Amino acid sequence: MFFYSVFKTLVGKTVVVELKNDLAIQGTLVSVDQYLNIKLDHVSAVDPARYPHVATLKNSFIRGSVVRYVHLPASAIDTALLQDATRNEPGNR
Amino acid sequence: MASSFFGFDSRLPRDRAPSLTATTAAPGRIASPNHSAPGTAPWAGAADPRNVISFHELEGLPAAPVEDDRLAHHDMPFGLPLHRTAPGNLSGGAPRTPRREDAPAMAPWGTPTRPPAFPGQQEHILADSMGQVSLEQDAFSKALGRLEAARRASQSHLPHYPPSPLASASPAPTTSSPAAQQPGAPQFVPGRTPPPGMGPGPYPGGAMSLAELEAQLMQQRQHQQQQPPPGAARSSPLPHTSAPPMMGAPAISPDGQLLPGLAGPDGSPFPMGMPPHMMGMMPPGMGMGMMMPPPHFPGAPHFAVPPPHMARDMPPHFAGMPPGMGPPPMMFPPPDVHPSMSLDEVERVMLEQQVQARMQQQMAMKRARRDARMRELSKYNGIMTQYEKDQIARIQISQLVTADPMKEDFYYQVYSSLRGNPTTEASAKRAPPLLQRGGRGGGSLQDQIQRIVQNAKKRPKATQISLEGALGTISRKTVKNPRQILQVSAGTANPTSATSTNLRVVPTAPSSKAHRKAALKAAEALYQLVIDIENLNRNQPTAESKRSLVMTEDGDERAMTLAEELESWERELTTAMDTLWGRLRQPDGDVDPVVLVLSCSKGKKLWPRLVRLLAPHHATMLALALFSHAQLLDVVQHSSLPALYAAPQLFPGLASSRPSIDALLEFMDATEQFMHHVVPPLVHFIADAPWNVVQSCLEVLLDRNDVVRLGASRAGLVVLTMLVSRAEILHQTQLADAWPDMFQRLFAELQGHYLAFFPLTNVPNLADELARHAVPAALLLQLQQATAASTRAGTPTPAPEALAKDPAAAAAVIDLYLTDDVHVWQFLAAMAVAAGVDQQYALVAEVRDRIVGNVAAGQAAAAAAAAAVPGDVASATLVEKAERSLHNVNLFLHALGLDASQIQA
Repeated sequence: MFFYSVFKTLVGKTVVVELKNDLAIQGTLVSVDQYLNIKLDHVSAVDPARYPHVATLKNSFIRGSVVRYVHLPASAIDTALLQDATRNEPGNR
Repeated sequence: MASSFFGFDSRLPRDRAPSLTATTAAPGRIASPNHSAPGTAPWAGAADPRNVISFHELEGLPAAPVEDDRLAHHDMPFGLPLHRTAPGNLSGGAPRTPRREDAPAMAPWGTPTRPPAFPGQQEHILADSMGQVSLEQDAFSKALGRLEAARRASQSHLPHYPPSPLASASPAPTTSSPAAQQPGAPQFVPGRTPPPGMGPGPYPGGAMSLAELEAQLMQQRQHQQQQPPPGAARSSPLPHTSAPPMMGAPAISPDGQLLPGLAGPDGSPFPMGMPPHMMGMMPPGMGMGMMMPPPHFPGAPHFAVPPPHMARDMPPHFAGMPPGMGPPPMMFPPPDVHPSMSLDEVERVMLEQQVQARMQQQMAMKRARRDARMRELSKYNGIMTQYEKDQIARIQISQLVTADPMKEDFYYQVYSSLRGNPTTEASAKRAPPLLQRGGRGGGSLQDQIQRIVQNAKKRPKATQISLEGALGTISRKTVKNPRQILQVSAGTANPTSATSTNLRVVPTAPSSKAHRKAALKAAEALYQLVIDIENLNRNQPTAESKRSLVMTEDGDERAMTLAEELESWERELTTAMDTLWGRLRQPDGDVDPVVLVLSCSKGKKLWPRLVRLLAPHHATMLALALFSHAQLLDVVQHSSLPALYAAPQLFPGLASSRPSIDALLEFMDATEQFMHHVVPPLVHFIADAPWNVVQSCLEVLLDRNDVVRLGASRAGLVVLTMLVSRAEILHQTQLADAWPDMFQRLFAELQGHYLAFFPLTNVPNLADELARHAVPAALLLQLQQATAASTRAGTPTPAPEALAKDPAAAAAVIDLYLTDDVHVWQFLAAMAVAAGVDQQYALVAEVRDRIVGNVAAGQAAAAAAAAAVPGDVASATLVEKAERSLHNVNLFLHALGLDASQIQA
């Protein structure tokens, strides 16, 4: 639930999702679910020359299992709270 | 002939004139010739080559490409089912074309259809001929039959129009072939009347073939758009085509007489006001006439009403045409013409109508395309019932709902409460409809969730859900307990720390790894306790909060009362606090936990939260502990690092070599963290402390510590300043009688050492070192902020990120920080305030050189500023330094009642 919780706070922010196939997509986060599937709006590829087909997309649904990284805006994360939240994780208690 | 679907000739008597026998159809054009006897296919009329018209012959319709497009949604081009044979009569007595088997299914509107087996299939089929049996299936034909029957039943009163232009387009079928499209050639023979009873199409009563239907529908739409049926008197319900439709002969009966039904509104011989020769422009086969109620019919007025709906749902059927009318009149509404209008005017009007008709046709096409696309998209709607969808949603939600959101969903809950719930209303909007639709409309979302949670707790659930009909299983557990992918082994702990259990020996060497680890461990333990206590504080039971359950003696569950809840809560809280305090005061070996915790930056960050939680008496004890061990703090112990780094030659004999830049940076970071996190709560504490507390603090400080050592560190000086000034304030309000003695003691101890408090004046070669070593931007930011307090406002402060990349600029910042002597002067000022005159004199005497130096620097600052090259970091630094020196020394001088301007350097 931890990352789900974190992503819930990022709804509406612009993120860059990097997939396992090296495709990097930028968009505003619309929603996330328990499997960390991500829905993005106003999608654009970070490198459009390499991935021209993304130009036709307006929004996308990305399955959670194919995501490698999600680049977040630093201002949207409260690091102290994040540390506390990790301490609260069931495994760490 | 007209042996119909019903098995008998269902034509109206008036139509049952002896029909023209169907001649042999052009080869390949007619699927079911009815060279047949009467009694075969009811569409026999279509077999008549004269009844058949090529699709492409329809004038004004664009050629193939558009047809392709239209035919792409071949299940229902224009919403009309494709032409079919007699309902139920699959074979129709005619050899089927091979393509028919793989023809797409036709269906009544809205039911799923199959796509064509190959592209262009439609086109092939349609291109064959109008009269052909094209595509059908049993279902469709049955449905259509039903439809037809219904229509016929309701429409039987409508006039029966003889088959029209198709019949009259006799040369067309024979001459034209699928390949040879004759665009718009006048096809009909004026004056020729189709056999009565033969509609333009094969249906009994003359239903139309595809093109006719299409044209008819289009024109109906256009017409409906254009004009509401103006009245039955006019042939207005007649839709019109884009091109001047050819209706075949005008309503001139074979005998040359004007057909009664087609009297124009003003008695003109042409119902549309068109001279006969204009008819030549009308494409054949527009069975418009079937929609035109003859004006003279007694029932005429009410025909204005049926046509609109007829147009929509009556494709296979048509209203009959007035008997003996011959080819139906024109397609488009009668233009506003009078017999007296000149031909030119009439032509103009007709052209306008053509243009309009064309536009409307295009719009109709677009609309048709859009509708067809919508139909395709919704072809597979309705596969899951609402209940099934809700079930899936419920499963997902049941995996998500948590009994304790603060524990599981901690980050989101706290974050949103900190930021004022920016997203909660969105989620609240989303969540309730989902659950409510599942039949749990009662109660709020929270209650529903609680119910789910309670049920979940009661029944031990299987770890996997498998739904009927679903592939695979849904694993229930992994959401909360995700499988650990990385194995971080805890077995690589430092062997030295695992030696003893009861006596933990913590190495006191401050920079050793074990020491650091111990510090981190202590900090983590405290962190956990702090978080627990904070959570408890946040969840204090109130009147509305949820009650936990407790077992009674009977074995039942019962909810606790508020009092019980509060009681248990308080017990938990006290336990936690005691544990916390125990951890804080339990020495690990010979290291005080306070010192230990504060030796890592994590601990420094934790400190304010910790202090906030403690009860006042505990907070006091903590502060005392801090003061008593002050010189063991890392910030104090390493205070000589900068000097060591900058000028190692001044410290001969020191065994340790010059510290690395890393160590220096670390020290600076630690100092800043201390100043930022630890000092403010301490200041608060002291500022509110009564004299006895201050006195104890001072005593502890002086007794246990080497004040000189403290003074050499920035942190120590700050602490001392705090205490001294507070004591002085208390003294001035007559509360601190013992202060002067204490001050004497302090002064005596410090005397002669003030000069040692001053930091170095410059740090050489810093830029070179930094070129090889990255400085974290965060540190730079901190340093900037720290020095900003003492530098004059208005000096430009570049962004830390930019600084981190520029070694020279970074070096300047660090230099500024390290040479900042503001805390010394502040301390001196505090001392001066508390000091007597002699002591002040002594103070000044001691630091005279520094005073003079600063003043001189300050006075030279003006000159330096003038000489400074803008943009040059080094010179800018010098200017800044100079100005700052002046400012700082004034802190002290003002405390003495002096000012820098009084001193001549």
